[in-house]
Amino acid sequence: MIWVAWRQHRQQAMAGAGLLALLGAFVLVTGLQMSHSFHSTGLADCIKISQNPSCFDLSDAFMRRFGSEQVFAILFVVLPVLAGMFWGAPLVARELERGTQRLAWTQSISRRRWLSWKVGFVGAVTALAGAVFALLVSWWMSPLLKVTSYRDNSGAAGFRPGLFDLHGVVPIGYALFALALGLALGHVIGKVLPAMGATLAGFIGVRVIVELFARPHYIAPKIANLRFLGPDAHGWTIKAYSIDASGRRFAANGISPSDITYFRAHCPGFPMGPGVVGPKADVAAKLADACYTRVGLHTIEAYQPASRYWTFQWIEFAIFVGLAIALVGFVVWRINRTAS
Amino acid sequence: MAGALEAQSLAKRYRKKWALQDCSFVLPKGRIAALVGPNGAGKTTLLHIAVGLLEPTAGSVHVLGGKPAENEEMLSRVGFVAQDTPLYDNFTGADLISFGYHTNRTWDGEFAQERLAALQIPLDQRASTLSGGQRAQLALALALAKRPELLLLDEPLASLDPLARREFLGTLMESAAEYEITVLLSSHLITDLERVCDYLMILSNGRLQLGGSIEDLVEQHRVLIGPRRTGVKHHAISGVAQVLDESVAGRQETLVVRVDGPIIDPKWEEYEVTLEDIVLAYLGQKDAPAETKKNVRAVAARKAQ
Repeated sequence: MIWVAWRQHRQQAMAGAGLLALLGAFVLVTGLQMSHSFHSTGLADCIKISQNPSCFDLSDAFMRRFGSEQVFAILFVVLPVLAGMFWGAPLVARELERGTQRLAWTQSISRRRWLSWKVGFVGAVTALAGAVFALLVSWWMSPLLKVTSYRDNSGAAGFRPGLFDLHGVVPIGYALFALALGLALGHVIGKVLPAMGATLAGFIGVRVIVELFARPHYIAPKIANLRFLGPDAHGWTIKAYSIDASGRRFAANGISPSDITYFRAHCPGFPMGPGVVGPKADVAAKLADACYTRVGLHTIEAYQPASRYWTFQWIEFAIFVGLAIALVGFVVWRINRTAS
Repeated sequence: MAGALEAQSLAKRYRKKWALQDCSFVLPKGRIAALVGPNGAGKTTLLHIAVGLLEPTAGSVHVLGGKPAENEEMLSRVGFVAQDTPLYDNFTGADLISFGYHTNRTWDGEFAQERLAALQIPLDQRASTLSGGQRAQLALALALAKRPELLLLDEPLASLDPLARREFLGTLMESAAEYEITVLLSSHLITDLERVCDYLMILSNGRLQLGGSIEDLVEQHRVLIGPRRTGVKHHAISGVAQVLDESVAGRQETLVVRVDGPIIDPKWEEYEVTLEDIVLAYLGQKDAPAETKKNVRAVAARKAQ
């Protein structure tokens, strides 16, 4: 039966392998360039010392050269859903569409065994391709992430939504989920093209919901009490606001004109605008800081510490693999309800 | 005697429409049976239930003493050639034989290869590039290579030209005789199957109108031709159990009847029925399809001879 699965799906497997080889070659070449530049310029060693301000010029040069390559990250976000659309959706839907299930299901192999061979074969290929690619992209991104983490002083750029999704183990989970979603929708809809469309929509829907509403709460965030406009806590900032001793709330990331009026009422001599430059800038900053201390202004931040990164990766991986298993289970249950 | 295929009050409903209703029959083993009925009569539904592709809404069906497709052993004993002979289009003949080898318990790949060689169907050509006749032969060879005890074929002749039909039926008959396979094949035309079948089942509007061995059926039915008589009930004719069809041509009247005794009345000339007469008469029983009209002409033509 493994022969049948291979013979039937080898074209898709080859097309997929071709696409991945192409992308892989690109990732390898640019990744080597990036990694070489990261080490040879001394940037790698420089930013090992945290908060070392002297690396800023080096990191600027690095980002000018390679920052634009982050655009390709979008490609890697899309890859898993391609597995769902081009491998998952046609798996059963093509048989139903062409009526070949009447041939397959009347040989001496039970429908469940038939399904498990097909899903097993394509699932194994997907998991393998997903793992290889996740590893490759993780390696590719790591200098970019290190430099970004250094520049925004978060220490955990890889935790950010949009970047978290690209590396580690989650891409494998996404790919398996997309595959199972395609399989299930293909079985229910019974037509390849509509099933592919539904897979795309469903995948995006689930990913967005998990990313926006579930991921921030996998573990209750930590709360940090920070200096106003000072550095963020190390990790993924989920929510932040600033408050002073009187209970007045401020945005955590800047000062509005009404804030300035408020500060001037409490601290005469508070600089008129944020844009004070030149020799007076230092004086202005000191005055402002003194005022913040005086009104008791500080920032409250809810954040996921950088140390939770891998825990979050495995939780999200488990969620998507769990969804994939549930979807395959649904198809296994449904395929024996005879309706053709 | 246990039947190869038995149904009790079988019924199947799709949403609101009944595709099959109150269908009961026993197809004895060893028969070559024709399942005849117009398009949409429920033939495909019946066959799909028998091979386990569909679940009946009500009633039960037994195949070789078991439930359809209840396990892999049961699947291996029944061969099926579906309508329009679905094959994997990008598989070659050799691939399809290999497919059968990998998905069946018993598999006579050599038989399939020999069959295709004898019919000069290339093994290395993709199924999508074969002619309709070659596809049908390939599908039949695959179904036979399973070494089934019961072989079901859904409209296998529909897309074949007369020569291909003859070749197809030739293969089928040869193998059925050699391996003692019970065969049930559906068609909307009885003329295709007349030469090869010894059992007939007529399906119309989701109901089984008639089922029996052809020998018995021919024995039980007659065409009667006599003078036109207005106002007289036909069942008054002694020896006639049921008038199935009547048509008038000039001053003469032609009846297709089921008999339960000798026809004594000298006014009626008695003729043997053809299978086509029987099929058309029974199909005309309820919601007469257009084909009944042909019956009138067929009988009139016989009288003219």
